[in-house]
Amino acid sequence: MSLLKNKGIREAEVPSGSLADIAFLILVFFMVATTIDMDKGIGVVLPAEGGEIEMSSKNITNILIDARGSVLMDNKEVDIQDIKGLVVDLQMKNPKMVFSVKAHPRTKYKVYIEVLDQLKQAKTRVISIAE
Amino acid sequence: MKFKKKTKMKIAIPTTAMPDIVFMLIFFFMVSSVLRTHEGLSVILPKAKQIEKLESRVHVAYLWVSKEGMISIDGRLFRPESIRNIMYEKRTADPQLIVSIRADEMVNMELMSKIHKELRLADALAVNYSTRAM
Repeated sequence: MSLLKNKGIREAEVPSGSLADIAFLILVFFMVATTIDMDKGIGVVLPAEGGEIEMSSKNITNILIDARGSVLMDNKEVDIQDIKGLVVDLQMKNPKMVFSVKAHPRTKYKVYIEVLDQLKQAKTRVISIAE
Repeated sequence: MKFKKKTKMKIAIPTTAMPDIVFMLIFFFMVSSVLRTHEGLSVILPKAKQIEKLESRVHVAYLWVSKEGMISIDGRLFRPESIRNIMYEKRTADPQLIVSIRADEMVNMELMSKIHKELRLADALAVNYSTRAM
């Protein structure tokens, strides 16, 4: 008699003690997986309109990019990957050196960014963007 | 006997509401991570190594340039000549403005020069060329 009665009252319960743990796991997963997409890029400051400054030509290194994407640095053709090293050398010789980047109208933006990237890698302070 | 009962009393922080709080946090992260998608043109950004983060996100104006030469600011298309007006307005509203140029890697420099010129006319001189990490 008592056995039967006991069976009737028995409750089925889902254990909820570890629910918080599971929720925390998911929370941590989302926090890690969420890439707060910070914008990254190459920062430059454009010259002000009409604010051209005269400079001694010995303090300027011209970097020209042609339509095919080859780079002329002081009238010598160089590989894009070599620019960094050359720029570091030039800066050692003359700390006042300004690098002027000039691109052909049909140059691809990609090449231009690669050149700017090389200059940035060489810790160049002054980059002039010639139009 | 009565005193004995008192010593058995347990102090516990109620933890029944904890899963609810945590779930709320989950939903917050899920929703906020979806919300921050850029509205703009589809571009393939160029790659670069020496990249820096934009210091703030508040003082940034995005300028999208697609492979076909379309220019988009705030989800609207513009001709290159009208950038100066738009950017001048933005610039006067926020003097600390940085223009983030999100241009496709196959864009010609002719168009980029035009944009540079326009930005210079608008006195929006702080520029960030948006790139991908290598």
